[in-house]
Amino acid sequence: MTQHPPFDDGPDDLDKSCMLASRQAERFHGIVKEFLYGTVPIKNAYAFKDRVKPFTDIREKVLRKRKIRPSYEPADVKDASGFRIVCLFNCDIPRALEDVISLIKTEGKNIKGGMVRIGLEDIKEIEIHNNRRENDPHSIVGKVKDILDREDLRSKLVKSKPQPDFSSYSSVHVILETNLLDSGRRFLVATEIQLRSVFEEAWSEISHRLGYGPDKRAAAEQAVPLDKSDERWKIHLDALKALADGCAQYSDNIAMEAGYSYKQEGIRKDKTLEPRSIDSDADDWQALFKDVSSERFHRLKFAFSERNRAEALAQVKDGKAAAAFLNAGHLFEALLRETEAQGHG
Amino acid sequence: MDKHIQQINRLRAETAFCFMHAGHDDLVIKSEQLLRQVLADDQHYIPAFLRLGQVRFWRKDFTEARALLETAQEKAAAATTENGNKRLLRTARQYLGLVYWRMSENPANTEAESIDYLRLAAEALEQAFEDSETEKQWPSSGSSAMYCLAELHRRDSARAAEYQRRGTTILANLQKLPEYGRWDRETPWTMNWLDNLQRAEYRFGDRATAKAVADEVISRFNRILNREAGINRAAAFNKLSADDQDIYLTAVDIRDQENKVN
Repeated sequence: MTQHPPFDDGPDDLDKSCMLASRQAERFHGIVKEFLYGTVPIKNAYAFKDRVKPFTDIREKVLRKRKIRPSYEPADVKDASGFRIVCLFNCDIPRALEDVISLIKTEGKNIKGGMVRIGLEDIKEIEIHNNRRENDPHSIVGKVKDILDREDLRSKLVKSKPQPDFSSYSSVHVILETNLLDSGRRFLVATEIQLRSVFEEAWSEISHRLGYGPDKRAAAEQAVPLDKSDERWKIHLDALKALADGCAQYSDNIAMEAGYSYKQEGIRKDKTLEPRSIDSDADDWQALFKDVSSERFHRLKFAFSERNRAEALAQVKDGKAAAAFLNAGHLFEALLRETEAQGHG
Repeated sequence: MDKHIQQINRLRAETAFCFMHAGHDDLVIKSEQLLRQVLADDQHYIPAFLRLGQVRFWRKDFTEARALLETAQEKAAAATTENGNKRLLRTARQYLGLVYWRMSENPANTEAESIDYLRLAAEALEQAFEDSETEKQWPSSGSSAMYCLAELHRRDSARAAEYQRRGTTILANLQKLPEYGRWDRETPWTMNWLDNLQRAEYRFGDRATAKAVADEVISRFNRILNREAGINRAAAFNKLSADDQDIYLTAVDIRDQENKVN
């Protein structure tokens, strides 16, 4: 690990500004940790990790970055404070992200009695690392983009850095930046919240420990000594990534088949309200669709009867109601697509 | 409006309604998209305001949920005919009550703000209770209204007599239900309803009944905690949601208070 030289002549200006940046990062980190702790995305996560970069690491990063950008300052280090939400399933990542955004939106203005205020405007960057094609049903990219569109955050999406072909890293990173008041002065502080699946986490930890992975420099610092002369093991690491991705996909499939649902805590008070259709008080659908073909009319009739059956099952709190609603939903969706296409035709 | 668009909107709304209850979060997201499309086409499609408000409530976006549900309530109240939008109005009021209730719990509120939200919640839930189509709907709106009234009774002492009167009225209605007094798991009483009842009986009714309900709540939680706990009940308790922890601790408090008295 890179060591900071001892202060033979006392700390220089860079030392001082890195120390200050580290202190602010530590303070902000504590506040964000308290803010996140015990909330829905954390309770639903498989694991929640966090770390603050020590000042030596901030200094080392500044020096390294200055080789490319001489004006790089300690305040430009955005990952001095970092959190990681590890989701059990890949398909949980968009929901966890949505929960984080919702938390910032609804609770962020009241942290520590308003001492720190975070809003959606403080989300500076969102980066999606992904190794799947966007139209792949297991890709989370589309879902994440939908969430960002709904919250008007699409402009925060930054293009992910190109990844090596061997084994792509996949996760979502959110960078938050705000002002922190300290001794009457305002400091710009930042934190990075990463969301990834448990399989991604396991592979990343292994590759990290071997000094190989998405952040090679950081990884190398923590790596166990290895024989670097023979790097055939890297091929196996790539194979391991493919296996981990396969496991993630397979567990997503199992979760879907098993009817798994990302747990929603904190909103249990509405579960006592039975699902009842409110569009059909006058049961007027037959009049609205009286001109459609007889075949389509019968399918509509069947879809409505399936919906009514699902409602009846929900009234008696039958566990099969969700499956019945799913079936009815698919019937209506097919009719919707056909009706929309008819308009375009 | 063009009939073709009306048909599309009706199908969007029906698809959204079914997907909302299909048990998949992805489908709830899809429902939200469909409902927003409906409203983009037709600002008078009242059920879409209600359903979207419901989804935003599930997503804990209480600000947007409130705006949507208030719109749904206003439009439905204006349009209600004898058989018209009664069900819609009741559902909107029920959800609006739940939204106000959640807004009352925001830790940034002053006590006065929390009380104001609780009053709005109680009023909306009492209205939903009055709008019930059948007695089967009483427990959901009635017990939620009583939770809010019990909280108001505890925290807003200047108007305690008024809350007592309103709470007692609803409680008297619920006590008419044939399953009232049977608290075991075979009855329709959910944990949340039982929680509301234990608080209401303790404030407005019979404390022995409050203790009987609390005993059932504790017994149900013990089953969960023993199943989850392994050897560490504290860890299992920490895994409960904040709501569940509150329900459990309230039940323990009521039981202990009553044991002390007796």
